[in-house]
Amino acid sequence: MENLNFRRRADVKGFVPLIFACVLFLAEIFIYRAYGKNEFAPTLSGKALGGWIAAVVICGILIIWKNKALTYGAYLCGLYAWLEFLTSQINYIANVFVAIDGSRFSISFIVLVLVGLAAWAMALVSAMRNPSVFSKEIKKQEKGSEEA
Amino acid sequence: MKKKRNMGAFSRSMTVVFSTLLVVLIVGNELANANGSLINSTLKCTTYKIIEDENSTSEVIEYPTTYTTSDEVKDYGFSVVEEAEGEGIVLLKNENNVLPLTKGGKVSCFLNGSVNLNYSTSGSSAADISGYSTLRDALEGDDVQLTVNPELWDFYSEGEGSEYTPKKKLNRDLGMQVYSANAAPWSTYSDVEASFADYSDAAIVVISRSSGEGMDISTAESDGTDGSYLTLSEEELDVLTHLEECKEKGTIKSIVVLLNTALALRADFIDDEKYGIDACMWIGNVGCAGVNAVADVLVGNIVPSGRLSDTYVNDNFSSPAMASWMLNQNGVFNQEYTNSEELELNSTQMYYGIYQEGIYVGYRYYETRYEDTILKADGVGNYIYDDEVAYPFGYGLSYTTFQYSDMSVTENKNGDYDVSITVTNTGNTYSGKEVVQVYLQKPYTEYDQVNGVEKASVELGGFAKTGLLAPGESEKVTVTVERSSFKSYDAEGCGTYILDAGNYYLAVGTDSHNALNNILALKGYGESDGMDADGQKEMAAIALEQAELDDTTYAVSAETGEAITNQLDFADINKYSGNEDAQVTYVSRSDWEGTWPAEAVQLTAGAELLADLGSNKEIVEDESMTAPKYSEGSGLMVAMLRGEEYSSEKWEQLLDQMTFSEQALLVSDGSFSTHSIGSVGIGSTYEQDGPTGVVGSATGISFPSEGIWASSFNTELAGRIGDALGEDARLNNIQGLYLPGINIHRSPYGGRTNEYFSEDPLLTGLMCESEITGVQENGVIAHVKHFIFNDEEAQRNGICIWLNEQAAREIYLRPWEYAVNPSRGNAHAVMSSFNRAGALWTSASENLVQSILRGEFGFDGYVITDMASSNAALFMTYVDGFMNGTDLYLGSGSESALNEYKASATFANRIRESVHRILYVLSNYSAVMNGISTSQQFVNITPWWQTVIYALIGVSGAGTVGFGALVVLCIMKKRKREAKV
Repeated sequence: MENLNFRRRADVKGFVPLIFACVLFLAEIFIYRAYGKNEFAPTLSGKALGGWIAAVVICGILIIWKNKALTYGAYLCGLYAWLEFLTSQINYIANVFVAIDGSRFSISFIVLVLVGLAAWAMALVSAMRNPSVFSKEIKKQEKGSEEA
Repeated sequence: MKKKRNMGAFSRSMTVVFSTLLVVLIVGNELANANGSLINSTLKCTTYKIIEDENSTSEVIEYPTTYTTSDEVKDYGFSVVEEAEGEGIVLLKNENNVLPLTKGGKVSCFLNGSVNLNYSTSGSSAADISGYSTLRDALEGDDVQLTVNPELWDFYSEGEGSEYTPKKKLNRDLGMQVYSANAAPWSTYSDVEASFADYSDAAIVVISRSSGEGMDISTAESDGTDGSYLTLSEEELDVLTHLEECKEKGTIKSIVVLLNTALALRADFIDDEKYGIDACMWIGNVGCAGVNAVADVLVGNIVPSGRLSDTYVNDNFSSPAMASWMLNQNGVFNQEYTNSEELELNSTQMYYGIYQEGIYVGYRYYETRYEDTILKADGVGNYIYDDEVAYPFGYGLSYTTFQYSDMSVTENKNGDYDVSITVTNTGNTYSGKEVVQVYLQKPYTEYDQVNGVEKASVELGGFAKTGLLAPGESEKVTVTVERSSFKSYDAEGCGTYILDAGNYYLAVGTDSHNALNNILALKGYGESDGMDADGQKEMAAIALEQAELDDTTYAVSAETGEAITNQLDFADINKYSGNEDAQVTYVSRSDWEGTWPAEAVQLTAGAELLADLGSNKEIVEDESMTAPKYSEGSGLMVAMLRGEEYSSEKWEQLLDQMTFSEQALLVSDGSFSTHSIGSVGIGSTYEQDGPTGVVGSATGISFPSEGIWASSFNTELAGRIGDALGEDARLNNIQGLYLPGINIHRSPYGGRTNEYFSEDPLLTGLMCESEITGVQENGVIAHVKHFIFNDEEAQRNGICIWLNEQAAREIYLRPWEYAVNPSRGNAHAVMSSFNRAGALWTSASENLVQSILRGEFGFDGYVITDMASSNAALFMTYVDGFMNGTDLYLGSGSESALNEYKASATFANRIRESVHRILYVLSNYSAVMNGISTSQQFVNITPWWQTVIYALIGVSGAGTVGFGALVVLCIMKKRKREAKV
C-alpha cells in the first residue's frame, strides 16, 4: 500500500494530464453530439466519435492500470478522432477561407477544435511523463531503502 | 547501460513519431481520396494511360487550337480583352467635348480607385491581378502620352490617402456584407492640393465599387449618403465639390469621372451642376488589359461605341424590384417564413424571395410607366420619367455623331421582320461605330388586362453594330427581328404563348426611350401630350396588324415540337397548392399605384410546403423498368460512337459494359473534373471556373465585366471572347468551363452582377449564344449557369424564389433558349443553381429540367449541379437531383456513393441515362477525345500523388512496427536484467 501511495504521488505528473485528457475527450463527445452538425456537414462523423469514445475508454482503463503504451494509444485515438472531425468539416473550413458562403467559424466549431486539440495534447503529455518518472522514482526509493 | 536506455528512449520516440505520422496519413489519404477529382484537376494528373495500337488505321478527329504557346494565347487573349473593353465602354456625358483629351496633357487622378482599379471580383470570377497594368501605366503609355500627377498618385498609393481603402464587413445581424467606399476626406488633400495646377488638363475621378459571389451588395449601413453602397459617400461628393471649385478657380480645366464597377451606381450626381462633371464613362471592371482601352478612349485612339446594357437611374430603390426588396427587414432580398422557428427549418429551408415586379425589370418598368403617363392610363400615379431615369437602356455617346435615315420594315421569307436603316457618320473628325437598336411594342389589350398578361411598352427586338464609319460615310444596316419575339406568355388564360390581337410596332432608336418616343410619335403623340421630346415617326412602323388572338402558333416549341403549357404553377405562390393564405399582388401596368409593392409579403410554411422543402424524397418506382445490365462487354469504346445518334443501340451496348460503381463514380464525383472510365475508353476531363476568365491560368487573362461585353452590342466580338476563353482553357489542359453566367440584372444589388450580362433577356441571349459557340469550337464544353432564378446572392443556398410564369418565361428563361437550343448556342452543359423555384431545388424540378430545358428548349447535354460539397449537403441530394434530370454532381462522390439506391431499377436507369448524356457530350464535343482512335485501350492508373501517399503510409507503418518491436525488445531485455538483479 505504501508503495502504491508513493507510486501515485510520484506519478502525479503523468496522472493529472491523463485526467484532463479524459475529461476533455468526454466534453468533446458531448459538444460534438450537441453542436457538431452544420450545413456543410449535416451528419456526425462516426469515425471521429468512435475515436473519442475509444480514447475515453482507454483513459478509464489507465486510471486503474498504468501502461505507457496504452497512454500513447489514448493520444493516437484522440488525434485520429480530431483529424477525422476536421476532415468531416473540410467544406466548411474551405468556404470560410474562401469567404464565399461560410464567412466565419462558429463558436461551437472553434470550441470543438480547441477542446479536441487540448485533449490529445494532454494525452500525449501524460504518455511522455508516465511511467518513466514512476520507474525512476521507484528505483530511487528502492536504492535509498537498500542503502538504508 | 546508458546506451541501452538511450536506445530504448530513441525507439519509443520514433514509434510515437511514426505512429503519429501513420494516423495523419491515414486520415489524410481519406481526405485526398474524397477530393481526388479536385486534386487531379489542380495538379493536372493523368489518371489513365492509353495503350496504343500500332496497327490502327482509324481516323482521329481533333479539336485544333490556333495557338499553342502560352505567349501566343496570352497575346491573343489580352488583345481581345482590350477590344472588349474598348467597344464596351459607355460614354455617358461629354460636355463641351472635353473628351477626348489631348495627348501629351497632364492629368490628376483622384480617389482610391485610380490606384486600385477594380479588375475583377471575388468568387468564381476572381483573378490574380498582380502584374496587371495600373491606370497610370496605361495613361502614360506610348500611345496615350498623358502625364499623371505623381504627388497625388503617391498620396493614394503610399501617403495619407492610402490609409483610406474600401472596406467589407459581414454584418450578421443584418444578414449582409456591408461594403464601404471609405474615401479619404478632403481635409487630407491639403499637402497635395498645390500639385493640381501643374496637372490640370483633367481631373480623372475613378469611382470604384466591389462585388462578389456569395453576398449581395449592401443597401444600408454603407457610407453612401442614403446608406447604400451604390450611392456616393459624403467624402466622394466632397471631392467632386472641391474639384468643381478648383475648376471655377481655373486650377483644373475639366472633371472626368470613370465608373469602375460592374454595378449601376445611383447616377443623379453625374448631371448635378454642383459637381461640375464634364464627362463620365462607365468602364466596368476592366479585366487584365482593359485599362489600356480606357486610356485609349480618353485620348481618342478609340472612339467609344458602347451602349448601356442596364438602365442608370437617379434612385436605385425606385424600381418595383427594389421597392419590394426594401420592404424586407434590414433591406435584404430574403425573408423568413413566419413559422420557420417553430418548424425548426434550417437555413436552406427558411428563406424566400418574391419577384413581385413580374416582367417589369429594368427599362421595361421605366419606359412602360412613361408611356402610361402619356396615355393617361388609370392608376399611373405621379411619375416623371426624367426624375427617375438618368440614362436609359441602350444609351451611349460617341466622339462623333450619326444620323439615321431610310428606315423600312419588311417581312422576309421566314416570316421574320427585316428592319433596315441607313446610318451616316455626320461628324467631321472621328470615325466611329454605331449600334442600331430595334425595339418592339406589343399591343396591351383588354384581354391582357382581364387575364393578367403584362406587356412592356418596348422590348429590345434586335440590334446590329456598324463597321467603323469615317466622317461622311454611310452604311445600310439590316436588323432581323424574329416574329416569335412578338409572343407573350398567357399563364392565366390560354396557359401558353399567345399572339395578341392588335398592332405590333417596330422602332429604331438610339436607346429604349428614344425608340418609345418614336413609336409614340407614330401614334400621334408629342411634347404637348407630356412627352419629354418629340419622337420621329419615320423611325417607327407597324410591322404586324394581328386580327385575332392566336393561341396555337407559339403553343408548341419551334425546336422540338413539344407542346408548351404552364409548368411553373409550383413556383407562383398564388397558384401553389401548398399556399396557406398569402396572396402576392404582382405589379401591373393596369394599375401602377394600386399594385405597387406596399408591404412585405409574409409567407407561412404549411404542411405541403414543409414536405416540398424536405429532401431525399421517396423514389416513385416505375414498375415497367427493369434493372440495367452491367459488365456485359461488347468491345465498344466511346471513340467508336462519335457521330452516332444519341438513340443508337450502340450507346446501350456501351453502357451495358460499365459497372454500377463506374457509373456512380462518374456522376457523383464531378468536382472540376470527370473521371476516366477504362471499360469504355474515356479519359478524365478537367473543368474550371469562369465566367470572366479561366481561373488560375498562367496567362493571367481575365475579361472585363460581362456587362461591358453586352454594352458592346457586338455578338461577333462575343464569339471572339468565347474563342479566347476556349484557347486559354485548352492551353491549361481544361476541357470544360463553368460559363457564361446568364442570370439577369434584376437589380443593381445582385452580388454577381459582374458575371451576368444585362437586365434584358434578348441581349443576354444573343451575347451568350455567340460566346458559347466560340468556346465550344475549341472542344471546350460551356457549362452555362445558373439554371435558374439565381439573380441575387442572398441566402442563395436553398432560398425559395416565388414568381409568376410570365416573368419566368419572358425574362429569366428566355436567354436559356438562345444558350442551349441546338440550332443556336447549343451549349452542351448547364449548371443548375443553389436556390429553389418555389420550394423545389431547381435541379430537382422535373418541370424545369426535363419539361422546359430539354422538352421545350431542346437541350441535349448534361446538367451539372453547382457546388454540391459546400453548404448544400442538406438539400442538393443525389436522389432529388438524379431522379429529376440532373446528371452530374459538382462534388466529391465515389464508387459507393449511390449504393443505397442501387436496388431501385428506376434510380439505376436514371443514373444510366445521366452517364449516357455525359459520354455523348464528351465523345462528340470535347477535346478530351483529341487523338483518341477507335482502337486504343484505356487503362486507369493511380495518380502520382496517391502513390506517394501510399508509400508514405507504408513507410510510417513499417516505422511504427519496426520501432515498436525495438521498444518491446528493449523492455524485455530490461526486465531480464532486472530479474537477474
